[in-house]
Amino acid sequence: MVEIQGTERVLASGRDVSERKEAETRFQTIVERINAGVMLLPEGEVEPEYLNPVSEELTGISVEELYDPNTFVEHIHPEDRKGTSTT
Amino acid sequence: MIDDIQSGAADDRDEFESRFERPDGQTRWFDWTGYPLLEEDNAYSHVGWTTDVTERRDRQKHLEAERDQRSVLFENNPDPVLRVEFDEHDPIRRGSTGRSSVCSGSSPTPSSVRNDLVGGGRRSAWQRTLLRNGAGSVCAVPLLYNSITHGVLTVVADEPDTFSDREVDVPSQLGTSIGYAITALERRPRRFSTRPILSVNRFTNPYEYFDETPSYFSEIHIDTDIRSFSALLLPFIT
Repeated sequence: MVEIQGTERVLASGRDVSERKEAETRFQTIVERINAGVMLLPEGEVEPEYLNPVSEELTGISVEELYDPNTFVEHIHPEDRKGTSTT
Repeated sequence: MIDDIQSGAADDRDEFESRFERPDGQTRWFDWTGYPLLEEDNAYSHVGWTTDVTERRDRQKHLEAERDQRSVLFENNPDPVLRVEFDEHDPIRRGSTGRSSVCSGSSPTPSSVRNDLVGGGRRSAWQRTLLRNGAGSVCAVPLLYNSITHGVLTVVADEPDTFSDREVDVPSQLGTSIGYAITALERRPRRFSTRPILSVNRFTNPYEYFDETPSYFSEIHIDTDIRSFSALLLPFIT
């Protein structure tokens, strides 16, 4: 909303995002069908932003639970846990 | 893993394998790969990539156990034992170099030559046997023709470092020739198969053997009973 000469107006702009949307859909399709667990982790975060459904098949743990990084680390074999903490 | 991925530089790729204990009691081996992903706003996200490598790990373990078992077998054998490996893509089962690939029993690296019998380090039984007989180096080539291996021709020299590539070529060719001869003799009627097995001249200089000397082999008679030598022929060069 902007005010022009005492009257409130709506200022809008638009751009074509079809390609981006197509790319996102393509990415989503690939990531969900590929035979590997995929996790997206934002910079500085320990909680995943995205986990694909294959992660659940591989680990036997629901994706919802896997969003908790502690759940994930707890299931790593104790002898292999070095460097896997979330703190 | 999360720490490892995040502690790396932006262009770092991190990869390792670890066991994962599933809630159903299975323990699986996972390969974890993490690498940074540059977003539109120039911030980095990190992508973690997980694959189940349990079967590969199991095969690896099986192979290691088999290799250990074979090693024990070779180490305790008092005779020289040589393992022969072939390139199966070649019609006459020879390596891409044109030479058969032969590997000494205790060594996992394919090689037709052991030039260091005198050298230090722990010696296997077959190495000690050769050393007791005054050997310094050994070269082995398969006796083969048309994919049939009749045995191994082992050439022993009293000096170490005797066998260079050039020296190995001669026994390699000889191995093929003998393999051909055995094949040919086996196809002949039995009445021709009662000849001496192998007779080779003995030389004072081991190098003479390799210097264009087919004539040094005054007679090579091969009998179909050659395998009664446990697939080993030992022409000693002293």
